Amino acid sequence: MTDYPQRQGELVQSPAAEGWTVYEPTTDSLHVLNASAKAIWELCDGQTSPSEMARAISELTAVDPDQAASDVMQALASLRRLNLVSD
Amino acid sequence: MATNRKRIAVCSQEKAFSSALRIVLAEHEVSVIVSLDELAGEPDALIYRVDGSWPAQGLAEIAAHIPTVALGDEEHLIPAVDANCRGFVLRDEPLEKIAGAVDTVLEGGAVIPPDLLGALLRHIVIRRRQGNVVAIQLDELTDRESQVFWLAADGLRKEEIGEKLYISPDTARTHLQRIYRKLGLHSQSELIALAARIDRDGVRK
Repeated sequence: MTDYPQRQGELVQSPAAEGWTVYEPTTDSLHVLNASAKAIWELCDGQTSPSEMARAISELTAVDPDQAASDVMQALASLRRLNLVSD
Repeated sequence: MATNRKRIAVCSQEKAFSSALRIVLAEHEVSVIVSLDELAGEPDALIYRVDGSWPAQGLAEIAAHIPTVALGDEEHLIPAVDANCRGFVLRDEPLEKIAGAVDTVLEGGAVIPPDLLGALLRHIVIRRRQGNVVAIQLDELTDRESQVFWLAADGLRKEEIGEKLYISPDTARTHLQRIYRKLGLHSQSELIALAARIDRDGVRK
């Protein structure tokens, strides 16, 4: 697992009721992300570590840092499964 | 019967907006002001609408201890969060959404427009990195310089710093000059702003 996840795909639609649509070209598929998943996906620039993401979320939302770290790892695992984040 | 009635201050230069919001927030005690200077007492929450100069003078100090929701345009979000606002609502959102945001910040939560969440988190990541750089620079201060740094950060003048540390004002000034040089600062106000940022990022110690 990379320390600096890199997002794949492109945001192709403004927010709809269900979330934001991302097109992933290598699998030619569309995925709908909720606000949290989209925010984490946007942070995946290949230079930001999961722990940096978790600390920022914890600071913004006052969520417990361990909980934030766990949420980030879970979201990244889901994004990897969708091929929206590369290892 | 128990009541959750709270004291909410609404700061806006738009009277019609304030009046409308007062109706929506009818379950609370709402006071309307047109500038932060008029803020009286300590309300349970503040709604600040960006109508004039921004960021507003004194907002950061107020929002540090009064849960605050800022209303503005997209470009106002990051300054609002940097000014300690716990909530941000785009100004064209329904009034009910503003009322909901007030309830959320009163409960200790945060409110951010979902579409802007990623950009805001990116800003916080960068700010934290900058804070870490400053923390490393602070490690280069001697113990005495570090003492002087934090006294200056509390707003003390060189005479007061000297008194606290049993050194002359001239010696305090010399320490301050070294600190400015090491940290790339030019004034005490810059030092205070820097110290506030380090405090906020929790890397003071």
